[in-house]
Amino acid sequence: MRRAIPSARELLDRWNAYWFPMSSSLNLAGARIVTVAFAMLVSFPSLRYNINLAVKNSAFSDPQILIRAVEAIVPRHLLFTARGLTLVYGISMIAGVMALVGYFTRTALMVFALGFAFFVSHVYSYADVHHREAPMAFFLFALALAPAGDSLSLDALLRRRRARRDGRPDEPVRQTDIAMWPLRFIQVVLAITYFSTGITKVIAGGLRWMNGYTLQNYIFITAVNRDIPLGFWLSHQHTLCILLAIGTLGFELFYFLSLPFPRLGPPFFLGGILFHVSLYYTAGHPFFEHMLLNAILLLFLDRDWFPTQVQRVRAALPRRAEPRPAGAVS
Amino acid sequence: MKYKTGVSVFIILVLALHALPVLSYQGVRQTRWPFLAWAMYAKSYPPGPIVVTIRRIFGVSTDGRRREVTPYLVGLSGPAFRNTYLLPLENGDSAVARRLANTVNREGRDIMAQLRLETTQYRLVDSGVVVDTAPPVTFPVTPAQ
Repeated sequence: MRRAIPSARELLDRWNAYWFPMSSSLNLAGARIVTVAFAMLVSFPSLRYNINLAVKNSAFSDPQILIRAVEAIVPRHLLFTARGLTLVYGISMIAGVMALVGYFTRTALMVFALGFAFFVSHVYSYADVHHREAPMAFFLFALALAPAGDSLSLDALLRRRRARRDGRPDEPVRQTDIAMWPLRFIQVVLAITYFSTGITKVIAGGLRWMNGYTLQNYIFITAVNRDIPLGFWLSHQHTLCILLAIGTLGFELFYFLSLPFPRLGPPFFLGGILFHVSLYYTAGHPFFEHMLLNAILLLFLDRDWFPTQVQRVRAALPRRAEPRPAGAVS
Repeated sequence: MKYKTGVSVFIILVLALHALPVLSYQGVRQTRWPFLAWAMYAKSYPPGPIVVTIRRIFGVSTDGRRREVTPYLVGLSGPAFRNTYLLPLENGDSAVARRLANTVNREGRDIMAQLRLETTQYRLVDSGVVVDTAPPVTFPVTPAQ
């Protein structure tokens, strides 16, 4: 007879099977390139804005954990100046470029992730905190702890060159069991954050959150504040607002189902992208990081899809001529 | 195996720490980024008038020039500027007006002698949006010596 309660060994096996399945290192490499490029071009807090905050405030009103830790080591008047912040920003950007091309990838990713967390924490140390960068920061740190530079990187190129020189077998793409966990990790983080947002609506607002008036209020407020024509139009559509409120709650409360039922993943990821795009165009909420992370999951969480695409591209490219043996004549 | 144990500890730690802002709620002034309570837009509204109030503050310099006092000018974000200055000014807090003028005057470009709070209400009606502008509230301020 089968035991109802799994043993510790079985639980451990299940844990390992979930977080550490065999996969190609290409998925994580693709996620690294897209995420770092996006973070550098879109998400990284502006240096000008950071300097403005630092020089116009003599103290932090609500210092974040990381800023408190940094300030305990380096005094505010030394680091939180135009020169100090520019230096940290420069180091972070150099690390970002190295992480993007995959040169000393792990170190570069860790420095870039720390720089990102530092500047976001600094912006949020003056009595105003937003949510949008938090999952992105978790993902950057996870990438730094994983073999994200094993493929599609200068590190991989140099490794292969060394292998050829030493006469060892060439490995353009590795199969490994430690390259999927960052993707699954960020899926769980997104599921927690969406569920948390949804359940607080249910607890604080109850079913009344879906009465249409609530969404009309929120959309009208942002439409006026940010002058969004589509928002003005939508705030007049009561029935549509009821449907959108139901859709919003449904999406937020049930996103987590994509964890036990992987087939539900792509519809939820695609839904997530559309949800944040529509939020941006109707209410101006710039949750670009959530769009990106859902797109990353859509492209790279499936273990086979991206490696197959890379294989197809490689097959379509003209092959390089094999090196001719010494002494051969044409 | 050591690596997987380390990663497992990292995953459990990060996921568990998401409970911290829920168990020890800090309200809107959270200081544990990136571990945040995700209570966004949770409040619900009953049927009734939908009204938005936009507040803007202008400084009038000693030579009569007018300049908007923006969050960027005083080194704050929009919501922090609203909570620190706009809402207290709307309630007639002249001490806040003096403090704001001193902050702006530290810039040294134009010395503000007066602050004007301008309030506009936007009301959603079936036929469109009705705009009501309230008379401005002025706060004379003595430039700091």
